[in-house]
Amino acid sequence: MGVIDDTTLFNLIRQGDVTAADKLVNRWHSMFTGFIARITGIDDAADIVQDTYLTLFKKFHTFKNINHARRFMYKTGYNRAIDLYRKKRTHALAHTEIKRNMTGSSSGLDSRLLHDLNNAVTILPAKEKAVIALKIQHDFTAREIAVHLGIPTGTVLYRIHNALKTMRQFLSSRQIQEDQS
Amino acid sequence: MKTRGFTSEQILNQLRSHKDTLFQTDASEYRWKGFSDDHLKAVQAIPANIRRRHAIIAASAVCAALAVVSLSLYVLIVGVPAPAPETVVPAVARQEVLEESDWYMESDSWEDILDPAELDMEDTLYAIPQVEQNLYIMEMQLQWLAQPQW
Repeated sequence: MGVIDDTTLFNLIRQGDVTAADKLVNRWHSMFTGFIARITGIDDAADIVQDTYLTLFKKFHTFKNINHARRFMYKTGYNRAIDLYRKKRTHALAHTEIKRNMTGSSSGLDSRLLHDLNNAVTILPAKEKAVIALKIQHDFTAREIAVHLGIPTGTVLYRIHNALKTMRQFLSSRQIQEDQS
Repeated sequence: MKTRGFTSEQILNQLRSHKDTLFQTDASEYRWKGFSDDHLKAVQAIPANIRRRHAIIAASAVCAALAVVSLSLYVLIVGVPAPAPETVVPAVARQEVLEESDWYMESDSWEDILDPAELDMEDTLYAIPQVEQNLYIMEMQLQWLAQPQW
């Protein structure tokens, strides 16, 4: 049996098929969780993702197609992650979580550069981090990011520009420190 | 690299080449562990929600159609509603001023009271309410002059 496409899964879910819902979520889960975890840290991301799925299925009867459902999921998850971030200011938490996850998988790469890149992403404000995550992780265009997060395209471009500027400054300062030491 | 540090494009390329590590998507923490009971209930309730939504949409369409038919029948039977009348208060106020100004129109001394040379014809032609107001003031002045002490 071949792989069922998203549209077929969407139609099956509309008929109340739990297995189809499970397959669809399984298909989206790691990317979506990775995106949320970049904003909040993995522990909080798990809760946000679970809540978002619940809201997604409660609203599923209102969606026109699978892309509509996916956009809703990202927008809801993003809003919840930003809300939580504002409440808890989980900057430090996200930092430590990602760093811990990285240590196991960085073998064979330039670990210093990778570490600096990770720190450069981590120091970004949550909203810029979300935009960068969608651009890099999902290969979305600015327009697609705008649609998924429910913000204007101009804002997306501005955030990408700001994020790259911050990262550039951070990496430059790291290079200077290394040169001095 | 001509300058110290990275360009934006280089940073983007570096991020893309290390995206699996930086934006991990296959770590064990990220694996899907299945639905809770609430999720299952929400999925199973989707067909009922769709039926309810369709029923609401159909009911809304019927209500809208009924409203259009009712309005059409009303127009056919009663006719097109008349345009809204002018607001009452300014019309009454205007009538009062006109009635008061009649005294001057009936008076023999009208020509004596108003010197046409002193009248600004443009104001008179284009600002009738102002003339009426002036007449009212003159009436009050005349009443004052007519008092016994004079």
